[in-house]
Amino acid sequence: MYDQYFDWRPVTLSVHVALLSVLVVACLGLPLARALARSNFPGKGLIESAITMPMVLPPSVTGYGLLLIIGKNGPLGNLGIMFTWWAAVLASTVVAFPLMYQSASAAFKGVDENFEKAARTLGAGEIRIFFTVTFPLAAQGIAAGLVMSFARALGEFGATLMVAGNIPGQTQTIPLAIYFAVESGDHEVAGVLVAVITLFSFVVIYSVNGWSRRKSS
Amino acid sequence: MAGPAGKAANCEGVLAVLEVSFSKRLWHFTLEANFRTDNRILVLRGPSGSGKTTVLRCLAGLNRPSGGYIRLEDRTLYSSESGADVPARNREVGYLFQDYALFPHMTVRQNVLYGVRCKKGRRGEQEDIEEMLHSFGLEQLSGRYPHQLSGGEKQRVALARALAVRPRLLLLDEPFSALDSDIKGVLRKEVKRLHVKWNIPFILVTHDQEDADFLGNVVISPGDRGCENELQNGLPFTRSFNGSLLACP
Repeated sequence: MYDQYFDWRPVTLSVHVALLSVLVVACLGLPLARALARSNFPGKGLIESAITMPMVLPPSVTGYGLLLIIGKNGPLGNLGIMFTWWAAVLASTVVAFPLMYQSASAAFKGVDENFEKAARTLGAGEIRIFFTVTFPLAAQGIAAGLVMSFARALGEFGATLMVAGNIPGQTQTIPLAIYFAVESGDHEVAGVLVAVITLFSFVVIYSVNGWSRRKSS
Repeated sequence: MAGPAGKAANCEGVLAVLEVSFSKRLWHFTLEANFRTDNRILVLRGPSGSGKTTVLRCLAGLNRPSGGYIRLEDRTLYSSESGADVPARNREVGYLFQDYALFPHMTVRQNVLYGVRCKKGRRGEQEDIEEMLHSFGLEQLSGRYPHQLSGGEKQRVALARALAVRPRLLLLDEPFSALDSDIKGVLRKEVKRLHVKWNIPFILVTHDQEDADFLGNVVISPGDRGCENELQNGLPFTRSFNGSLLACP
């Protein structure tokens, strides 16, 4: 009925932002998790804590931190990404990164080192070992990390609002659209978007739990 | 049977396939290995914690010795003097892991083929693999995954996987410890048969006297220098596997 009037742009924008964030998170998070999983050096704990911080920090603190970096007077201020789509991607990436890192790190550590050693004695090089042994054995945990970080990126609100603002059609993602719809009393719009994101989140959690159930059985 | 370290040096004229003389500092003692062997079965027998597995890992290139040398046929695999340290993947040393370490996400066939596929430019191996699977009695199992195999079957697959790449030396780490005693005897014979067939040196690590008696052409047990009190105090002492398979008349 209201379909032709309904503004779906927050949904498509959110999906685009989340997909791009997950891509960045995977490209950076997987190699980092692999590198740190099998090494031990002073300062490793500090690095891991710094990576994980956005998971426990209030989103407004993460947002303020990003503001200091990409704001007008920040070191990356001249990129000019404040209040653009890219700032939303950045905010989502930073908050989704810990989820990917933690899942991948646990998955890599869970791979018995003897499998890698066996492959080594059979003549396999390190890259081959990664793609034929380590990665397939860690794949379930990595997939869970990808899905969780996608969901987290999709739901990012606080930091996004601070660095990307609320520009309909440009930086207004689903969570922002819900907030401002409720604020202006537009419960019809809010209801649809809430339903979309609730359904999606449920499917995510259900399938991630399903994977871990199957893994433990 | 275990000779002193000097004995190896007295039989220079005898051709050794494998010559080992290295030390490895572990956190509570120093491990030494000095032995020479030809194409026979050498058994390292000792209690758990005596460093037997570490000797194998150094030979395979999974651990690095603190000093000394390892020579296999005409190749120097490790030498602290020249700085040589051939990576594990180029050593041509087969390794049978204690828990077999079969790749759980691959079938029996894929496990056995894994090493062969790593060696490029060897296209003619396909028939060899069929023959290999056949000779290990694995044709029926070739489509199964490791979790669908019994302990004895797993070991057969692990042996086939290690031998499929035609190693020059096979290391077996406690190969029978995880098996029921009735299947142990069968697999001991199997290992002996394989040894005759492949004609390469086997080095087997065990704490089981029966394994040693049945399989070992020569058994080396660790000798300790320094007294047990020192061990308890955590002070360094030396434990060495010395011996030679080569008979000195």
